[in-house]
Amino acid sequence: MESFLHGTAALFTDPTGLLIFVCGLLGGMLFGAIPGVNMLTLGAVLLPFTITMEPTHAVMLFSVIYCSGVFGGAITAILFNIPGAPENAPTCFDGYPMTMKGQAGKAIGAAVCCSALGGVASACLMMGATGAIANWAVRAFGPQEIFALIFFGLAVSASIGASSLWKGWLSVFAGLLIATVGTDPVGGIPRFDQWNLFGLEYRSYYLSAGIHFIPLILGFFAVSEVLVQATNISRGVRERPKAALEFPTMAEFWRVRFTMLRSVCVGFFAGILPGIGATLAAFLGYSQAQRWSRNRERFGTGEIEGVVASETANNAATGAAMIPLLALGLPGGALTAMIMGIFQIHGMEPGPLIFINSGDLVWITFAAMFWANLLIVLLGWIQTKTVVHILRVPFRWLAPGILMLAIIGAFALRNLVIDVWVMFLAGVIGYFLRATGYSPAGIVLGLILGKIGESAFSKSMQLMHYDPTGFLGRPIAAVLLILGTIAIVSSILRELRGSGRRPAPSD
Amino acid sequence: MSPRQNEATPDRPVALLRSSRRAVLEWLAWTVIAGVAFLQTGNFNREIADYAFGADGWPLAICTAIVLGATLQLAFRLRQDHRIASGRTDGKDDAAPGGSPAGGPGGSSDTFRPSLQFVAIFLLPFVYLFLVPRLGFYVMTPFFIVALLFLMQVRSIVTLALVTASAYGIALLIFTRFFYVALPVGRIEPFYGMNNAIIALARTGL
Repeated sequence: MESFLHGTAALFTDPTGLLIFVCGLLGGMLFGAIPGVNMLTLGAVLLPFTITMEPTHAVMLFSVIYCSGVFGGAITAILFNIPGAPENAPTCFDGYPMTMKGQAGKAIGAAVCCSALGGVASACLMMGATGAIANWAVRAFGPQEIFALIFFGLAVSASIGASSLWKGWLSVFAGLLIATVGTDPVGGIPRFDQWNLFGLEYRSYYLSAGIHFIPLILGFFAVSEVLVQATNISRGVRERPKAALEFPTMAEFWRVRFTMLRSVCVGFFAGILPGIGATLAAFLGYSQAQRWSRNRERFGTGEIEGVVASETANNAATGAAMIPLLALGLPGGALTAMIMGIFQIHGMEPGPLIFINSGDLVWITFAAMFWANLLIVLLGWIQTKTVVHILRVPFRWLAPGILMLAIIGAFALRNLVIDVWVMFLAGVIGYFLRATGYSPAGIVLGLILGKIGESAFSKSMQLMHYDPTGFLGRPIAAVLLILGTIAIVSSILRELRGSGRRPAPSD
Repeated sequence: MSPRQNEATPDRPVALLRSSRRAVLEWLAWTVIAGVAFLQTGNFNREIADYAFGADGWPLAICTAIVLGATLQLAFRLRQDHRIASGRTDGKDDAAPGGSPAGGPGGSSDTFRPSLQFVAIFLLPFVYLFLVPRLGFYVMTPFFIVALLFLMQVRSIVTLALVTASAYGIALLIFTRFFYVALPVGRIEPFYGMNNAIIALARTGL
């Protein structure tokens, strides 16, 4: 506690540090909200400038960007069905329907408060037990456990957003198949880059690099939404959401207290694991909330619990992601890898000794993350009172701006027009998937987890000498695989009994 | 049984027939996708040192899973339709037997007839994308915005002008002036020159 207070005092009494803190907070939120130009873009732009900065300021800046960037994407997800980042994708499922029902203020309010809560809880856990958690996680989690976790994640999340279990699974399989395009994770052999169909041959260098998930997310969510609205308008159907500003009440938050608590645990756990991070955390948080909710059938139609679950979980992953980095020097994602880069630029080595050699840096970073998560409430409240007014503008006027953002976001990713083609194709496919009850979210989930899953599976198989029973010799992997199998079997039984049907999010 | 269900009863055999036909079509679509992917794995079924499953093991497993999933879906839907036809369920869950979300994009596909405007909405982005690498983002985008607004039934000249100017201006300001995003400038003169002139204006004159 003393170290935390010392870190807080050092943060707020240093004008330069405070300025960097505020800029990081606003910058992360802004970049998180613009699709395609996410917090990683901001990090990449800022990384060279950290050479001239104090190491404490540089690490603190990136940590704050991480916290606020994960939250920033929720606003556009809720208002326009455009997730600013993949970790905000599950927020669309209920956030956007809430906007269509005139509850945008409530949805953003829930996202703001739950992001802050998830982030603060995660920061507190991080401050309390970084060393112990990191040691446990790294020792206990090998490729077998990561594969089992992904299997479990897919098993419980597969039917999200689909009108039936089978459609959910088929969507996930489609995502997994798309994820195989590009080089294979073991031998680096290009896959699906050349095609021979009916004597016609085709070869694409673009495909040998794989299909990136950002254009697909923009297509499935933003472009398909514009197409839906445009075709509705062309038929004379005009649905305009009300720009409501009210925050959720305390009673509403109290009703979802267990969802918040569960999502904090799920998010924190997923955040610790390298390569898993906030995206799976958000999907897992959402699917677990749906699984345990009394209002399960209302998920996807504008249920506040859905927004609460995904936003709590993705922000809970932020503090957790710092644990393996600081305690063991293992970055779990792109932004934490940049922080690792900062340490190296300044000749420092993260690991157990960092708490002794650079205690000030660690505690100022912890304090900055804690306060950044708390300040999300204030900034989010201001955003709610201002940004929601955009909904007063007719959608027909907003559509070009939304498409501009999506086009530039997809193009800026790799400076390739073909990414924009992929985005529009995904938009058209997403339109028809939504019409037929399949789940674009399931495809995105399969796409994101497919590569990590395959990599973990191949390593596991090599380690276990191709003996699948080796999974049962690892307690955590065995439990996750058994739970995943139970989830699949029970959902199939529920579907066969006819109670498994749920409305798709676009209802 | 509610009056509404009574009204729907005469249409039920037709709806069931459509549902079964749609289920078979969906199964066929998934099987074709998986089959084509399965055939293409032959292009990369090379061995990898120390990895027995090779580069094609994982994609083959996914193709198999797709066929299995699609077949289970077909069997489940046909069984469900059969149960409804024989009156063993009230079909409550099967209001949209194909799983179509009620009121989803475009509503029921059975009653929907695509109009020219509908087709144009889907074609416009692809025409735009075809032209952007040739004529440049900066020249093409205002036309794209106007065309999109027009398809969304905006007819007021003032609105068309204001919305186009706002969306285009904000995009230029944020991405060209502040973030220096290198958007396509085209490869055909005089459009190449025009695009660069717009960039120069955005970076210095706005």
